[in-house]
Amino acid sequence: VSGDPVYWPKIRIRSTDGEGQPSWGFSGKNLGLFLLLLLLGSLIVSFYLNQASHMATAGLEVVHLIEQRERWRQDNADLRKQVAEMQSLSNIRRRAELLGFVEREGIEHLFIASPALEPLYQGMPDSIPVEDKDTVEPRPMSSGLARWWEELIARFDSWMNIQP
Amino acid sequence: MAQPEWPGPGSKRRLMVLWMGTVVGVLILTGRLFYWQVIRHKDLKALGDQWQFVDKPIPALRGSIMDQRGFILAMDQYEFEIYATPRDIDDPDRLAAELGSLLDMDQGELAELLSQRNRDYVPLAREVPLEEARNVEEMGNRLHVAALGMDVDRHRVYLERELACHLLGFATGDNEVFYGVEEFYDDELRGIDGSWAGTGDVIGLQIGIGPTKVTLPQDGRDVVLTIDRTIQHIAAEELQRGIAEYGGESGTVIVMQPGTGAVLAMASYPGYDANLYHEEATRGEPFTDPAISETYEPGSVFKVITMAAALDSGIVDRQSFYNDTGQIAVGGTIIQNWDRKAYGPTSMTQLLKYSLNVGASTLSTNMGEATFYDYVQRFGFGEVTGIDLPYESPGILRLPGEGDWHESDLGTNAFGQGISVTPLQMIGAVAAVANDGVLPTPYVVQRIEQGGQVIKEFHPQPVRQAISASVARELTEMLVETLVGKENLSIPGYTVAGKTGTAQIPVPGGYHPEDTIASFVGYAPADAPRFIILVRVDKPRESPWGSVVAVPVFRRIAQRLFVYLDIPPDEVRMASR
Repeated sequence: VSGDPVYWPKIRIRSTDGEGQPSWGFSGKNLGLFLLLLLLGSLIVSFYLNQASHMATAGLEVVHLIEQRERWRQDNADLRKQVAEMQSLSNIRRRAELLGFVEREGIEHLFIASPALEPLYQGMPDSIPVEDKDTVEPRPMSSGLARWWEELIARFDSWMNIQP
Repeated sequence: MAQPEWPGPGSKRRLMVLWMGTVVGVLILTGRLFYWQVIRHKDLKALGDQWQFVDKPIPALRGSIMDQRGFILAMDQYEFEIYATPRDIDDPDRLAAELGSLLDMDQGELAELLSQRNRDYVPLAREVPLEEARNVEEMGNRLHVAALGMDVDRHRVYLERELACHLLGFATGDNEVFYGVEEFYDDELRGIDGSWAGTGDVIGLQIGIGPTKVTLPQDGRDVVLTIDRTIQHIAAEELQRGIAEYGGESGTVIVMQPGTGAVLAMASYPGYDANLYHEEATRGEPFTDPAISETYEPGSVFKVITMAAALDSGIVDRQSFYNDTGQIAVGGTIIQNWDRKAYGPTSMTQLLKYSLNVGASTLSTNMGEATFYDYVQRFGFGEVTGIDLPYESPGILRLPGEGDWHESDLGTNAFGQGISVTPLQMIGAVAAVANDGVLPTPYVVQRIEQGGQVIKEFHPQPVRQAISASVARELTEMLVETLVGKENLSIPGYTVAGKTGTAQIPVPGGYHPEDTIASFVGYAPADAPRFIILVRVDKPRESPWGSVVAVPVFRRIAQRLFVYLDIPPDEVRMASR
C-alpha cells in the first residue's frame, strides 16, 4: 500500500511480510512480554475482583447486621410493651382481685415508746473462733429490753384480738 | 495476469465520501454522547436515581412517657403493613389459606387479592402487630414465597387509656402532636427517622443489589413525670364518683406537693381514651386541658387570698373583728352575704368559716386598690403559672386603670367574683399559703432520660415570697379552725386546712340563676403539708354548694392518700418528732 491516507488509518504494523501484508508472527521476546503483561493484568484484575467481592460481602454483612439490629430493636420494643401492659394499673388491679387482695382502707399506727437506752441486741461476741460460730448462742437480752419486748407483743396481741 | 488497479477509477471519490461520512457520523455520535453523558449528566443521573433508587424511612420510636415510679403511660410500638406482588405468586389459593389463618382474614378475599396478576403491588393488611408479622415472615421463608413483603411503621399506645388523657395529650401515627406533655416535650420525645437508600425495582420495592446506604434511626428520649399514676387514678376515680353522686357536668381535680410545685395528679372529667383520639375528634370536642386552659370564677376560695393580703399588709391581725352589717356598698354595687344575713361583730376566722362576702369586701376596700391587687398579682393571678404544658391561660384579672375595671370590682374580686382563674392558678396560690408564703412554679416533668441515662433534670422553682412565712402559718391555723366541726370533712387523726367555694357562672347580662361551680382547696397535714388538693365540680344538680359537693370528694381522696403515701396521724407524727 502506497501510504495513501484515505485508505488506511495512520496505524502501522511494524512487522510485515515480503508482500506487504501484516504479519502476526511474534518473536520469543515479544511473547514473553505479552505473557508477563497478561499475568500482571490477571493479577491486578484478580486483586481487584477479590477486593470488590470482599467489599460486597462485607457490605452485605453490614446490611444484614443492620437488619438484624432492627429486628432486635423491634423485638425489644415489643417485649417492653408486653412488660408495660403487664404492669398497667388495670392489669395489676385485675390480678390482685383474682388473688383476693383488697385495697387497704387505712393504716393503724401503734405508738411504741423507745426502750431503755441500751443496745437493742447485743449479738455475738466479737471474738468467736470461726469453727464455733454455729454453736455459740447469742447473749440473752437484758431484762429491761425483754420487758419492753413483752409489752410490745402484748399490745400487738391485744390489738389483733380486737380486729374483726 | 495483471491485477486491476485497486481502487479503481471513480472509487477513490466514493471512498473519500464514505470516509468523510464515517468521520462526520462519528463526530455527530461523539457530540451526542458528550451531550447526554456530560452536559445532561446531572439531571439524567437524578432521573435514573429516581427510578432506580428507593429511600425508605426506618421509623424512630417516639420516647416513652412514664410516671414518677417508672410505670409507662405512653409508648411507641412497631406495626407492619403486609403487601404482596401477585405476579410472583404461583399458587394464590395455598398462600391465601396460609395467610388467612395467620392474619385472621377471609381466605376467599385474600385469594382474590393474590390472584390479581395485573397488579404489581397489593396491600393485604395494615397495623399488623409484630408477632403476626414475624409469623407471616416465617411462613414466607418456609414456603419460599418471595412475593410477600412488609413495611414497618410506628404507633403510639396509651397503656392506661383515659388516665391523664388531658395531661398527656396525644401523638398521631404521623407524629403530629396535640397539646399536653406530648406537645410541650415534642422535641425531646420525637426521634430522628433513619432510612434505607438502595436499588429498587420498578414498583419501588427494595432489591438486594447495588450500593446501599443505611442511616440508623435515633429513638426519642423518655420523659419522666412528677405524676404518680396511682394518685392520678385515685383522683380520677373519686372525681368521677363525686360527679355521678351530685349530678355534675364536668370537673377537675389537681393534687400537688405544695413545697415543690410538683403535680402528683391532674384529672379532668369527662375524659377520653387517648388510643381512640380520632373518635373524640369526630365528636368535635376541642382538645384542651381544663386544669390549665379553662378559667372560672373561683368564688369563696379566693377569700384565702384576700385574708392573706389583709394579714400580711397589716390592716388586720388574727384577733381583729369587723362589724358585719350584712351588706356593703362598693363602687355603687351592694354586696351581700351568701345567706343575706348580718353577722355583727365577726372575727377574721369567723369571716372565713362562714364565708362572708361582706367581710372579704371590707378587707379589700380597707386595703385599697393598690395593695389588694398587688397581693393578687403576687399570688400569680393574671399571669401564667409557667407550668411545662402548652396553652395555659393567664386567666382574667382586670386591674385599676384599665378600661374595663370598675370600682365595684375591688369589692367583688375579694370573694372571687369578677375574676377568672384556672384551677392550676388557684391551687398554686393556696399552695403558697401551705408553703410558708412561697409561691411555687407547678411542673409535671421531673427528668428526661435516654437509655436509662438522665439527660436533664428539673427542680422546683419558687416564683416569689407572696406573704411572710409567719402570716402563712397563722392563716393555715385559721383555715384549720374554720373546718372544725364539718362532719363531711372529718378525717380522724389528721388536721386539714382548706376553704370551700361556690361560684356563680357568668352569663351575658349577669349570672346564671341556678348553675354553680362547687370547689374546695385543702391541704394536709396542716402543719407539714404533704399534698394539696383542688376539687372543682361544674354545675352539680343535687346541691350547688362546694361544702356539699366538693368536700366529700376531697375527703375521700385525702383519706386514700394518707394510706397510700403512708402519712401517720398527727399524734404519731408529733410524738416521733
